[in-house]
Amino acid sequence: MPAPLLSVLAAVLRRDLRVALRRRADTLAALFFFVIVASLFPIGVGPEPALLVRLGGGVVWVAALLASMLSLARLFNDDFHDGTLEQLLLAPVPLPLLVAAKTAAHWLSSGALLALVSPLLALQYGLSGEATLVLLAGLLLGTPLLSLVGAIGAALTVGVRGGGVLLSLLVLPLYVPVLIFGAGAVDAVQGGLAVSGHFSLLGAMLVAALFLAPWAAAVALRIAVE
Amino acid sequence: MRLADINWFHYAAPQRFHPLAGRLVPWFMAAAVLLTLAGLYVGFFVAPTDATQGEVYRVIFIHVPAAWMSMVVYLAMAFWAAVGLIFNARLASMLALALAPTGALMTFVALWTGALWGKPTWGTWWVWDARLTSELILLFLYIGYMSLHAAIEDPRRADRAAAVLAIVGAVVEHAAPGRLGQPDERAEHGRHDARGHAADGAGRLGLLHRGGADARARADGRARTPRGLGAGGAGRMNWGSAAEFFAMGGHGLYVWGSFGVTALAIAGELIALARRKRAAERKDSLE
Repeated sequence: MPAPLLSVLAAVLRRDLRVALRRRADTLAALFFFVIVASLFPIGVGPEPALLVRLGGGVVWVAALLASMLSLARLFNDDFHDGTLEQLLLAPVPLPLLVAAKTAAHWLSSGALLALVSPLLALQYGLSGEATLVLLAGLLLGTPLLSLVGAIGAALTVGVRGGGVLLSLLVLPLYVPVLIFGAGAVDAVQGGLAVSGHFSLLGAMLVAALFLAPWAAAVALRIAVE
Repeated sequence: MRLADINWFHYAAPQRFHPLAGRLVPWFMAAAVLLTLAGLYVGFFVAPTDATQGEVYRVIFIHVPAAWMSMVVYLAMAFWAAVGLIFNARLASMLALALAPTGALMTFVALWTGALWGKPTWGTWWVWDARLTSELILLFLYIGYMSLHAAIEDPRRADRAAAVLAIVGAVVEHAAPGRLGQPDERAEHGRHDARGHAADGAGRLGLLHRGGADARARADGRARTPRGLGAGGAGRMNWGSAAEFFAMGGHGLYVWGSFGVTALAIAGELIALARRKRAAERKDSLE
């Protein structure tokens, strides 16, 4: 008797989360990368508070983008190398849904953590309470987007020689709209403007990506594995 | 002969397309050379000097078409890549791959000539507004497409993976231009005007056309003011001497920097094409 759809998806989600928990080093490495990169900027541009307050939102967002991108490689590559990916492709479950489940697990073990740590970095940059809140909310909306769009890139480059750098090249241009609105929201609230527009657009992009990205990634996976 | 009798896919087979393309290429090259010469003549010797910008506005004659081409070629590339993916047509994917370097070159020329035009007119080489930023992103999309295709060894898999990337890029880059109006608004402390967004995005392409048309209109309309540099609006020969021609009213560096780099880019592309053709022929003769 074929297993019901939701329990299969839940199983995939649980498995990926368990793997991420066991490979704590990978998960934490991306997180520490995020913190280190964000800490490098004050060292590079000088610790003048006024400058850091203006830079903070953008720097944290860029660091989140880079950290998110680094962790994308493990989304499909590990499964590809041990044959699990082929089994997933053969499952009697729609591939886009499986991809969505894997992406959700990826986000929970990377992007979500980055978003939760961001208030500490906001503190380092001296951002106001309001700006920190906007940064946190923006990252909570934006990091799932990064995982979703990144999954397409990861699927396209699965098993490809030199995949890591190529993945960055492919995925960063696609990340730009998210960066523009996420960092733009922090900028706006610091300038006393409304952020509703930015969040509306981030939300709209997230909804569109939730629907379209797993499908595109599934197509890319089939191309890569067959 | 009825429309239904035509086999639209007759030339979709590479073996049939190859001789057809071979016959057409000399005609297209000849037309390109003639149109280039005509355009250069009109651009340098017929178009009068602009009253405010001087000679440097002539860079627009390259900048606008290059920018327009960069966007159209991307859409064409995504279209053919999609056809190749959906119908499993090898030739469509080959065409998409062939379009990519040309499109990337056009994008580079647009960015380069834009910078060289912007410095003397706007006072800056670069600014991070929506239009320039999205043109830069477009260059990255082209490079990503070519890199992905080159990284995958199996040609069919490469074609299809790159096609997915091209389509996703088209959705993100071309469906999002209206959204990218946001940073401009921010700079002007403007209101979140939905119409403003749409106008900026949809008008982005139009603006480029208008830029060119504007430059030409201003040149025609305002260059009636007598200038030291020979006949303003009426003359066929704008230049009193070769020295004046090369000086371009003090903007020689910008004008020749633009036209020169564009000429180099086109020459480079032709040389690369000739090299690839020789390599392919050599490979054929070995088999």
